[in-house]
Amino acid sequence: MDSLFAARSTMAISLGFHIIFAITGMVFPLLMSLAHYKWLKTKDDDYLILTKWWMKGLGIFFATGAVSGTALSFELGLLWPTFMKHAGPIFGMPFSWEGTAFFLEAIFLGLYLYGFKYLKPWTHWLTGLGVGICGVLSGIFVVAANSWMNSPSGFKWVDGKAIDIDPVAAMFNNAWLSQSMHTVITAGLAVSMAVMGIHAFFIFKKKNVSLNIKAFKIALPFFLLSALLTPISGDFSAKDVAKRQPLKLAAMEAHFNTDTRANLLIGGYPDVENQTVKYGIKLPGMLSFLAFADVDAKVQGLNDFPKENWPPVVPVHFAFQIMVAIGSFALLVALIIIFNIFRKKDYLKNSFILKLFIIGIPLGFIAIEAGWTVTEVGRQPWIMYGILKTSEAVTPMPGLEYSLFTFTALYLFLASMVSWLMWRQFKLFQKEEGSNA
Amino acid sequence: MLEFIIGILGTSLVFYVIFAGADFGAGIYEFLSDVTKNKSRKKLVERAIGPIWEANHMWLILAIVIFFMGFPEAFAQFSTIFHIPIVMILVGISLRGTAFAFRHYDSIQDEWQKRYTWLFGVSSVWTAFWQGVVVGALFGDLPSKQTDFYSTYVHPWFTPFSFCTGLFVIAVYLYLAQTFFLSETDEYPEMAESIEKDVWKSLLFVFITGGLVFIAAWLTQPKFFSAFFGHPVSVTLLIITTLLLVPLIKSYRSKRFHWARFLVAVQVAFIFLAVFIKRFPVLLSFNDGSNLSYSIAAAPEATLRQLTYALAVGVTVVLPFLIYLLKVFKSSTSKKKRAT
Repeated sequence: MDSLFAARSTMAISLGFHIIFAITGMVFPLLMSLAHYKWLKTKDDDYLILTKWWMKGLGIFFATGAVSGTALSFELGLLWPTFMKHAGPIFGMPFSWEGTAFFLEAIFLGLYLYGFKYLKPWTHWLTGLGVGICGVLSGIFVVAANSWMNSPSGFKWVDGKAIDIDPVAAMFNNAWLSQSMHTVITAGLAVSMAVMGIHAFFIFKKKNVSLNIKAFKIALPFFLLSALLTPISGDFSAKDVAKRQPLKLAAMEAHFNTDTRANLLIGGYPDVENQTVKYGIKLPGMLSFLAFADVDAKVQGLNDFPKENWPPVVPVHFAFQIMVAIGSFALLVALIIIFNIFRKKDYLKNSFILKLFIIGIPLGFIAIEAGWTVTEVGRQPWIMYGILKTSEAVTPMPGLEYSLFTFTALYLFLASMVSWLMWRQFKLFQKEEGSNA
Repeated sequence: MLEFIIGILGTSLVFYVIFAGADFGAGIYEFLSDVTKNKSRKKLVERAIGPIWEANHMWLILAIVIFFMGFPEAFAQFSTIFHIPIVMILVGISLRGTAFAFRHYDSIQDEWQKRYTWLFGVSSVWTAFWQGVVVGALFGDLPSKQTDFYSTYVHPWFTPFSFCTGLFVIAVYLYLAQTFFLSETDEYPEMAESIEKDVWKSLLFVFITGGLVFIAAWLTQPKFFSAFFGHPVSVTLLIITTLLLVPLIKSYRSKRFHWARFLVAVQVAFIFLAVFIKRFPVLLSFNDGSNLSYSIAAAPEATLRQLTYALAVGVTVVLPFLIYLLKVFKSSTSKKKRAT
């Protein structure tokens, strides 16, 4: 196995694993705080029951996210030492702020998870909210670091070395805002959708319905808000990518030749060798419109760039399609719910709507993985876009496939353990009577 | 500025050893003493380290961020050469962190508890060992050029000396944990007795493995002695550390366990400081006689300035909350609450 492939696969598996736990650790505490708040305000014990169940889930997800995050911070050096040598001083700043936010998060988590008996009710509640706020902040900082790889700034590259380093300019690079915004919003979407789906399942199965309806409705505002905002932040990101990384946009859309009034491609299988797309639906001018807000705008195609700098077109295109499809599904579901709320209909008695949410359980996470594939694979062959190639950054150590096997085995094991624990938790939760029983 | 950054880097490593070391030791202790038979000890372990668990491990993240942002060249060399042991450490960290959480948060408390406990124990021993191996290897010279696989990626840490430091770290963590638990046993007097007996055993374990480290050094790693005994301040610190054994043993006998814990922490910090002072300004040394000093490896001025700001703000914001966390769970009133 070639070193570069092994290193990239290791990174992909580690990131793909970590991100599930990272976004859950960001959003879930906010849902839990809302349940806790409702308990403090209404004294309805159902909310307390929910809070306590969710705390268990958070404990498991946070611990798994923390260790996989620790592993990632080391892996940057293990796999890409040349990159870290150049990039460490430039993009380290958001990591140092992330460290602070994460430290606070860990402290609040300890106070929250173990604090029921020790803290005053509202102080205790505040520590839970603190976990969520610090989680979101550390997410923003980490994504800012990643965005710098897409939009390297804050230095001059002279003879293979970075000089005139300005870490502040690097942190606030051109991509940080669109990427952080899109990540935070879609994290909210993925986690709230999964939580609602799980409770929709119990409602569907008629298990302690009133408790599950309360859980569902706690996540509902998060879902509606993020489902409505996702297309907006997605559009903002796409326009940003069109400006900064035209090649990535071309790969996302399998857009081979530069065109005015460029087609938006929906679905389709890109045949890179013959530079055609089979089976897709083409909407004339829509790509130009989405990228530059003008149906006649020129959109650069892959052929404008040397072939050795193309990202792998097929996976990037598919990942992008999956992400957009799931985003659209969420938007549609959100609109159906809003319609029902306005019509004052009890949509939770509608088994079709419940089924939509049950289908939605994994979808948000799949979209998150797809989105990361677009960002990361779409940046290839560069690790620092336009400056340093991934192949130049990989560690010289031979036998990287063994690291890949090790991490793959580790994360498969942890993933099955977490699934097993969740399954046990759901099994027991089914028997939960709720306060009204 | 550079001094401040080095100071925080050193402090976070010392805190990692003292705080996270104690929870590594908890795992080692459970592994060696079959706590599954002793439910109240498991409870003690979870109560004592559960709330501070995640915070303890932040010291390592802090250290690694300072390392790669502040000393990128050294970080790149370090993580290239120590790829294999670092992977071992990461596997261990991941397994023990999750096993501990799984044990605590599993909704059904059944025979799986034993498996989590076993995994927590074995991965704690494993991780401590590999951390010790890396620390030991840093006393030696690293390859200046990448030659063949063995001499570049294996030989630097595959030495009797490194393996002995691995064992030594296991012993130290175990001992730290027991001392820490003793200071937590106020409401379990019956347990204090059994842990106290074990403390003497693990202290002996520390001396034996420490002795092994010296023997291995004498046979294979002569530079180690100069790393310890070459500087008057280092020697003084080491003498004080040794002398502190007297009040330490007294405090065990008089059951002033908080005091014992403090003394042990001071000993750990002094040993670190002694090695650091002797080595300063060398960060990494190589087998061609060259070395990488802190100032040469340091990132450019603008980066160091930002890192200093972040650390200064971080310390100011984090410390009060950290003290609050410790106060909530470790103060005597909270222990009373716990007991009721």
